[in-house]
Order: sequence, then C-alpha cells, then structure tokens
Amino acid sequence: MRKLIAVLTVFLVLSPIFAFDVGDEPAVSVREGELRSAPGFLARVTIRVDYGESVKILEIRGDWLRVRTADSGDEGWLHSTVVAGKEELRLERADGTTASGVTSREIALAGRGFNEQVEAQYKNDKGLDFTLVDEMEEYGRPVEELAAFFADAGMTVEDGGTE
Amino acid sequence: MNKKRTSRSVRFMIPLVLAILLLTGVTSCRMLVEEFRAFGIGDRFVESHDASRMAIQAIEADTLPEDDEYFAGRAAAARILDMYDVYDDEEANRYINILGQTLALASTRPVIYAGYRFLILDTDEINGLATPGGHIFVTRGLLRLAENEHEVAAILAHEISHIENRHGAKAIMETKGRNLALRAEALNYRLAAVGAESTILGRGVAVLEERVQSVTNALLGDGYSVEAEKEADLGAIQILMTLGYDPRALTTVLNRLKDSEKLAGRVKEGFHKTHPKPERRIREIERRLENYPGITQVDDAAANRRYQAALGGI
Repeated sequence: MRKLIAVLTVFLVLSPIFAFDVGDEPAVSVREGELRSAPGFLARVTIRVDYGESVKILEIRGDWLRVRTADSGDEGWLHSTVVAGKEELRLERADGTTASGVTSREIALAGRGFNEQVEAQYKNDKGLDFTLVDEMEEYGRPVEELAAFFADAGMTVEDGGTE
Repeated sequence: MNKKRTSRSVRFMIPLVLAILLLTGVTSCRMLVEEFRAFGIGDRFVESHDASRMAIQAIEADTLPEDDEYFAGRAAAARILDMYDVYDDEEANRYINILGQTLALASTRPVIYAGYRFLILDTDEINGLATPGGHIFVTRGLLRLAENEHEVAAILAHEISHIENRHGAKAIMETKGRNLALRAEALNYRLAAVGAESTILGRGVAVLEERVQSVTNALLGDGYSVEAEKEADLGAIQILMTLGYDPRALTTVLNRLKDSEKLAGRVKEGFHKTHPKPERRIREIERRLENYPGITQVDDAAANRRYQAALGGI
C-alpha cells in the first residue's frame, strides 16, 4: 500500500511537468524564438524562429536545447522555456491531428486566440490608443548591450558560455 | 517503534496524495466537462473525447497560453498609458530597460512571449505595475525611493517576479464562477478559430475585454493578494542574488516607502493602496535573509556612475 502511494505520488508529481527528450518536436511558444550560437543568453543570435514553428531537439544541455528548425533546417540553441508541446499551444485539432494541407504556421496563426485582429476591434470599440505601447515594445535591448552592461560592473553570469 | 513510524508516514501521505489528485484535476474532469456544457460549449465538442480533453486542458491549466497573456497585457498597458504621462527621458528609460532585461534573465521565466519592457511614468505617485504581457511601469515617485543601482534593481526585480509568477494571468483566472463562463467563452472562441468556422470576432473581443478588466482591477484597484506580494518579494531576492546585487536593497526601499507613508499621512493611493503594509513585507524579507552572507558581486563605483547618469535627476 505504502509503495503504491509512493509510486502514485511520484507519478502524479512528475506527470504535469513537461520535460523534453532528444528527438521531440515541440513548437516555438513566443513571438520570435531566438536561435543562438551557444547555450547562453549572452550568445550571438543567429536566426529568429516564428511562433508555432516546429523544431527538432538534437541535444539537451541543462535548460538549453540544440534544435533544428522544421522549415529552414537551421541549427542552434534555444532556451527550453521558448518552446512548448504542440498540444499546449493548441496547434492540434480537436481530434488530435493537425489539419492536413496547411502549414504548421497557418495552424499556429489560426490557433492564436487573441491576435492583432481581436486587438484592432477592441481598440476601435474602446477608442484606445496603442501607439505608446508599441513604442514601449521597441525598447528591447540587443544582447551585446546587456553583455556590456554586465562587464561594466564586473558581473558574471553562470551560463553555457558566449560562443 | 517501526509501526508507529509507518502509520505516521501513511497519515502524512494520504492528504498529500489527495491534494495532488485535486491539483492535477484528476477527480474533477467529468464535473468540469458538465459545467462547461452548462456554459454553452457546443455539444459536438463536449461529446468528442478529444475535445473534452482540450476543454479539460484549458481549464486545468491554471494559467493562459503566452500569447493570450501578451494580448491581455498589451491592452492593460494601453489603459495604463491612457491614465499616466510617460517620463520623457530617453537615457533614463534606456537604463531601466537594460537593467530590467538583465534582471529578467536571472528569473525563472527569462524569455516571455514578447520580452520584458520597462517604462517610467511621469508622476509623483509611488507605484509599480506589471502586466502579464511583460510591460513593467515604474513611477518617478517610486524610483525616487531608490538611491543606487541595487535599489532600482530591487524595485524592478519585484515587478519582474510578478510576471515570473504569472500573477496577472492568475488574476484573470481567479474570478471563480464568472471565470468558468469566461473560460468556456475563450475556449469556444479558440475552437472556432482552429476549426473551419469563421472567427467570431465579437466573442474574442468580449473575452479580451473581461481579461483586461481583471488585470487592471488587480493593478490599479485592489492590488494583488498579500501572498502574491510576498511571492514577488521572495522572487526578487532570488533574482538579485543570482546577479550579485544586494537583496537587502529591497528592505531599504521598503523602509523609505514606510517613511513616505508616514509623511503622506497614510493616504491610500497608488502603491499604498495596492500593496500590503511595508512593515510586514520587511519582516518577511529579513527573516528570509537571516543567513545572507552579505557578499555582492557588483562593482559599486561603476554601477553608481551609470545610475547617477541615468536616474540621478529623477
């Protein structure tokens, strides 16, 4: 009995946590996933991968995944929080298959519940101005700048190296 | 002796297992599908096994997909920027973005849908606001409570931690009964969008509007729960220590906040209205930092130079 409870507990505790394996093909869950030359946030960004695009996991090192993109075949490192199972992204149809004859990107766009179209309508209904929000979102700082900021105050970060 | 130990551990395990069962929603799937039906999820979806699975997934996940968080956050940000003026200082805004985005890398959610963005609001009011979309607003009044980079970092790390802990998304999901109806609506909208049917724009807008309302209520009205604030304080400490900033800077800022409250005669507005009493938060943080060795990694002279250049005149 005790053993059963223990096994059950371990199973239930572990099951909701989504862990990836080599060979898995999750999809990018952020607007633009940044593929890097090395497993670290301060590494050079080699290519950007759109939301919903499939990647194949080739190697796992800590929180970092070396992947190959389905569309372009590019390889590089993605942080594991940047991808999710396709089911999680609602990229699958209700019957568990992905719709045939359409690209993963089309499905991704359709599956996005709240998109620019909804926002445009909301903006219109409310008479709200998003200009300042758009300007605010332009404040993304490039990796080189963050790295320089670190170095300036003698800070180091435990990362997989910069290249 | 042995027997006693066994029974005690079983007694301990049973509630644990029950709690886990409850948390993972195993016991409540069927009930939820029924409730979903009551709220108008189309029968063809409820009746198909896979659709039920989707419905359960959507409701079981105690949070929203990242893009949903982002769009709700964007609209909340638009509402906030409708109420406040932006502090028009390129250097200051750039600085808090570099510092903030660096701090975010040390959080448990280093990457979010459209990244973390920071903006200073031009008001004496003391307030910090974080939308689930990664938009973080700090007022000049709040930044004036800081006197060096460690302290600004503490302020930003607290707001980042609200996002890392998904407090905004939880506010959306927490309006219980009405919330279930909302989730059903959201799911209906998604199913329509994924399927061949045309997008039901109006329904999407209605859901978005409710969500924005939940977020802005939490940010500008009642504030997050005392528990959420504590969680954000502890998350902030973790972020600061990971990067080598002094986590005690958070209590320094809170002590100044306490003094400003005294001066203002406890006017309940802005930060004072949405955050629990600083005294309580300070006690909790100090308890957590009891064994903190006091070693920081940051070159204070360099950090102070850039802080003064960007925020010296705030």
